[in-house]
Amino acid sequence: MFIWALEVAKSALFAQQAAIYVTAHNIANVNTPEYSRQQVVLSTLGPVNLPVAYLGRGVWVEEVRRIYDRFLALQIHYQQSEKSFWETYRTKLSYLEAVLGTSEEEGIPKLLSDFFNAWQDLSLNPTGYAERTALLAISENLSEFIRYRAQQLLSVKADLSKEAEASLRDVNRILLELAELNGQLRTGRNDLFDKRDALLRELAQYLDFTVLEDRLGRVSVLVGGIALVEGLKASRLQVEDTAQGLEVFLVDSGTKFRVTSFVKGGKLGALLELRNRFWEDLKGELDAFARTLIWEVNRLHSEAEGTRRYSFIEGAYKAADPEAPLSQAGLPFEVPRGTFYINVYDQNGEAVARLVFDLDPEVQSLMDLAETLNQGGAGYLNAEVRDGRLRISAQEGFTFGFARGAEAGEVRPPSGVVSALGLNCFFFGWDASTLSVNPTLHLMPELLSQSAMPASPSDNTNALLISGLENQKVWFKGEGKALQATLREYFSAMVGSLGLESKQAMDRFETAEGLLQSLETRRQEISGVSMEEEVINLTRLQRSYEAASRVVKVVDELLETLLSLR
Amino acid sequence: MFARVTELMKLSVSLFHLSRNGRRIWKLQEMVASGRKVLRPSDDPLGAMSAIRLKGQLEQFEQYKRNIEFGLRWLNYTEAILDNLEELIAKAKEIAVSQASDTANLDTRRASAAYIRGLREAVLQLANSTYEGRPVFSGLSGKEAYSSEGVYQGDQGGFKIAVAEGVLVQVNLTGPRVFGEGQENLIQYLDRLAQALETDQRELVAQGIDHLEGFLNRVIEARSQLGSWYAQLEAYRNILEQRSIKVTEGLSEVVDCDIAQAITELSSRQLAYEATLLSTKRLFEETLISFLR
Repeated sequence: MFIWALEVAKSALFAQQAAIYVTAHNIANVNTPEYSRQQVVLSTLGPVNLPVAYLGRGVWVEEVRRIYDRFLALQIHYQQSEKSFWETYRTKLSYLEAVLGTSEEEGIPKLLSDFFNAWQDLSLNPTGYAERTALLAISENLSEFIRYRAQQLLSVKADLSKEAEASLRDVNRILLELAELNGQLRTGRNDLFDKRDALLRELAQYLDFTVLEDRLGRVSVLVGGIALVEGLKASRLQVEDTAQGLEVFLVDSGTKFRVTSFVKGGKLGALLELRNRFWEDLKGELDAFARTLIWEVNRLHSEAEGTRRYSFIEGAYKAADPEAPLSQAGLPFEVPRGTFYINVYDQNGEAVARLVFDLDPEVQSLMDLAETLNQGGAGYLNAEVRDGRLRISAQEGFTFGFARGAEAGEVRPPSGVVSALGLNCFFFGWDASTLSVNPTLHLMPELLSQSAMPASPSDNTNALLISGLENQKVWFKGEGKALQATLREYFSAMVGSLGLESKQAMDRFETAEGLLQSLETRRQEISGVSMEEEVINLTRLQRSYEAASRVVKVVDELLETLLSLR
Repeated sequence: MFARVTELMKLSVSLFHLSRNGRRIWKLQEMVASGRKVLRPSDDPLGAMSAIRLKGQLEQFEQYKRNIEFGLRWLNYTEAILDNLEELIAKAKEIAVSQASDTANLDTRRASAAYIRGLREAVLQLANSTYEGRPVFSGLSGKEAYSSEGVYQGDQGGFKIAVAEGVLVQVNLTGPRVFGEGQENLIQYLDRLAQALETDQRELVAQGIDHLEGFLNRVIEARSQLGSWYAQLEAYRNILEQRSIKVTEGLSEVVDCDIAQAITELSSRQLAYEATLLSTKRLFEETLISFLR
């Protein structure tokens, strides 16, 4: 029976040793973020039937259990991808805000004020040269500023694609590691389960997914019902910049299919959302802004005169097909139907003719228009089409300027025909990236059209009309939408919605961060290592070990007593 | 409450709150340093939007004020010309009165004719006055108003300046309006008067008194027109002044930071931050291990 007692004590010593070992492991991992504390589950060894009674055989380590809440882990994964999504979104938006959303003191709002004020300065001194060069310098600033923003937007687009690619490299690595790990997972390999959870959480930073776990703890990772990891097999994701935007493809033994719409949440989801929706919208809005600025200023500028007239002019816009009706000729702006006038002057600057031209863009091509100009302007003008552009030159001794209709001294609104052809334009280009100031104006600032009436260089009507654009509601046309606002209102709304979205992203990020933090705290509460607990356990185990040793000693003494019986 | 408090939990909870508090302090710090509460659109999207609009209005007001200043200078200049002109006409009238009387004779009339021709040159010079290089009385033609023969070369165009949104005020008088229509203009009339004096036509000289009176009235009328434009511009300047103040106040309300409030909030947040730091330090100092030695 003493022998049995020794066996019992031995089992106790072993068990306490194992428990001390686990406690040491816990203490060692007190700072390991993904570590789940482990606990020794002790249980009694079944009794043996001894003559005296049924007596227990001591203790054994039934299991080293990992303390962990599976459902909490799932919640954490979800919240992690939510947080990563908004974190990425927020970071990118605050950068875009810095690019576009300047304060009212600077940037586009300020330059817009300067631009219209410069036109008013010209209206005070319509024949002034200094006012013209100042206006041109300010316009150059404005157009360069807008062009530079467009460029920055394009580099943001490239960055978004690059980051998505880099993220996918990480994702693919994680998927491989998970598949590999699936081969090693067995019940009781606690630390491997921690590693698996760490990998899943890392994956959750990039995208949102569903996890299925089998009896052995092997996981399948699904995105939109498609398995990225199943057993020992991992698929590979790949990103491509297509005409439709940034697309994600699943590559699986030679086949490739699109999963873009399934990739939500996480950094990758945010990058796709930013690139495919937000970026396109923002670029579209900036382009619509620039396009409207170009069109409205040109429309007024083109059918009016400066203090100097043309002897030669070439259209800024190229018709892809000069033989096709102008409505289908591929010009950047729609050519309206209307009437425009050309005033011809002699050497002394006296008006000698006012030529009237009607244009029907549905019927006439650019070639037809050149023909009409040649006929109507016979003796004064020559017109031709070269390289898809209209060229008009005055005959020797004459100059010409463009004009709009006038009735009883009141100028009528411009027809828009001249500007649509790119003649006598203030701005060149058609969107934010192509916007520039007509270079001819830099060479000859006197060509700036401040006068809406022929042979009236001191007239400032046109300068006043252009500066009046500042308060005028004009049409903005973008992808499938059109709205009326002043240029400033449109820009401020653009900044406002960018700010609003950025603010929302920040708020959503804070919320997600807070929620993740509380889930993380909850996980730490369950799975984390408490030093006090471990130290107390250690003390307890030490005492138990001592007690068990004591038992050995007592039994030994008893045996000695027994053996010393003579 | 928590059932178990673990090591990493203490750390991460403290860090989380420290970083949140730190962010808020940084934001307040930024506000105090810049004096603005809207530093980027996301700070207050609607505020940023109205700030852009209000600032745009202010910039326009400033421009309108500049336009008005210009208009007033232009009117002052025109007024000065008309003042001179009035004097010249008055002198011509004096001569007509004296030379229409019985005491005048051919000699005095010949001498006066030369004087009148001198006046005529002075009037022509006034009529061709330029302001900052621009003819004052030639409408929008940009040409010199009168030829040396006293023929009007300008047009009837009105030179207008913008003084408020959609409000244009004309500030120029055309030659005919000041000097008389067609051949009946002052310059050509003075020619005829000189001729009448030279040829000793007393009758015509006597008629000249009424004629010159008529020209005088025309100038007075023109001056009253200038006066009414002047008053109009001043009225708009006052309106703009008041509106500028209102809009500036509005803008300040939207973007400017209440420094006193921000600093109060800043110090209370800093206190909280320091307290968190202190308690975190304590949290890690006191463990069971220190008691088990």
